[in-house]
Amino acid sequence: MARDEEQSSKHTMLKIYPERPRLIVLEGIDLSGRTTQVQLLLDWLAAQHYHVTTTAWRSSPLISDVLARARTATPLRPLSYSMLYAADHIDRTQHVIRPALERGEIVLADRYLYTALARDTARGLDAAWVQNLYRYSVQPDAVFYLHISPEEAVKRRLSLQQQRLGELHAGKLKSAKMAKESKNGKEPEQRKQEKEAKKGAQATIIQTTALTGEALESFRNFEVKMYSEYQQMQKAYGFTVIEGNQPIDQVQATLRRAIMRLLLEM
Amino acid sequence: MSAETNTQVDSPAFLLPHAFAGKLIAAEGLDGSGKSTQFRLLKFWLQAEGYEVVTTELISSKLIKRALKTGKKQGSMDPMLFSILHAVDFAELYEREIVPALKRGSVVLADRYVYTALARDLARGVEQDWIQNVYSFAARPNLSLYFELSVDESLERTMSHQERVKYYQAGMDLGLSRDPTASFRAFQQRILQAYERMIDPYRLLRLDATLPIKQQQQILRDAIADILSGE
Repeated sequence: MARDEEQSSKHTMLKIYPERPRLIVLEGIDLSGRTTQVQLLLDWLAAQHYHVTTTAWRSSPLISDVLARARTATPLRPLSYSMLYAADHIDRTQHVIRPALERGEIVLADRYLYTALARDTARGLDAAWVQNLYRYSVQPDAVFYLHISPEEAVKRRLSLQQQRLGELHAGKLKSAKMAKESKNGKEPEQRKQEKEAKKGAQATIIQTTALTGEALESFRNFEVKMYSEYQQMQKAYGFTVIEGNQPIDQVQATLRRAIMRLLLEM
Repeated sequence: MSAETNTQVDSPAFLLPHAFAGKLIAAEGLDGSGKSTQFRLLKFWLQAEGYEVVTTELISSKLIKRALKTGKKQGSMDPMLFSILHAVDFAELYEREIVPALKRGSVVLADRYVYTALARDLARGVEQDWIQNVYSFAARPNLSLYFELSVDESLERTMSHQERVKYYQAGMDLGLSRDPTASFRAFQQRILQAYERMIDPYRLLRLDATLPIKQQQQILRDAIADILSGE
């Protein structure tokens, strides 16, 4: 539900348009820090009084619902998944991306069709066939590729699940403590808050299932494939490569410099 | 199978011939053109001849229906989006039912196949080259039948078992007419024209769907016997 709200956050009270409407894309394999960077860019651009619209992969209301259902039912074939993601992209192009650009705004895309190209070809689909699906996409003004190695992705994944596990334990301890305290007549509002926090921790755990053994190996293999697809696309699509394996603020500073230059271009 | 492949090199390559053990027979045509009736009779006959027969139908899955409903509420559905959602359904049917059956050596009777999707999408204004590329993963049928019927006849037959024409069946979202029947006519006329344009390049076998059922069946059996004896 939170995803729906996030899917296109728009800052309508702001006044400044860039010299030209701009579509700026961030790409990168899982855990490359893409979403964090998009959020920081959004905050920054909004603070500069720019009109900004963000759009995230898989966020069209039409498709996110279908995809959520598809995941619980019989898993769809790679071919069908590929077309559903294209459907999501077509819907967002029509309802989010094009309208925002027509209003003269900056559109920040957290992943774009390159994700589909990388993923679908990694899953064995024909690259030319996938390219055809996205033939009518808007050409981005800049694609920033956050480069991390597949090994780094695995490392980050493991440390993330470690961290989440820790949070869950802490949540359990807290709620046990809370149960005790509630007997002693603790305020209900605080109890409610802590309950919410615990729920949140559980939700993230479910999202980030602990990977071990074979599952971890297949995660690693997939990231390796994705990585190699992205490497091949870099030149063909003129990605601006940014090393993702450095502190968040350093990555952000590099992005901001590049975007500032782009926004000032006539 | 390979000899047959060689005879078709001059036809457009958007659907490529398959090398599966089975045979694929597709039926296309307007609603009410009698495809299902003829396929039911064919299945009976083929089974009696000792073939394993699988009949498939191109109907919208629950998954897609939900998305279509949402689109209906929004009032406008991008033709490409409409088209690709249906392609998802087709891909699932194709990979889960059609291909496995062909691999087993069955005769697959596909009640509506790619050409129906193509005709409908073209009638909705999708670019031909794009949509043909989308469906290019599918195999070319060994025999593609076109059940020829006029729009008037189709409407009459449809209304004999439906209370009213359905929203997307009438292409109501295209704004052709506010009156569902008039919209149905205009939309189905476009589909008919799209079919007509496919007959030659894709070598659809044209069948007069107003002929008596038995006579149609005999024509179909003859054509299919040729395909099956081509082994």
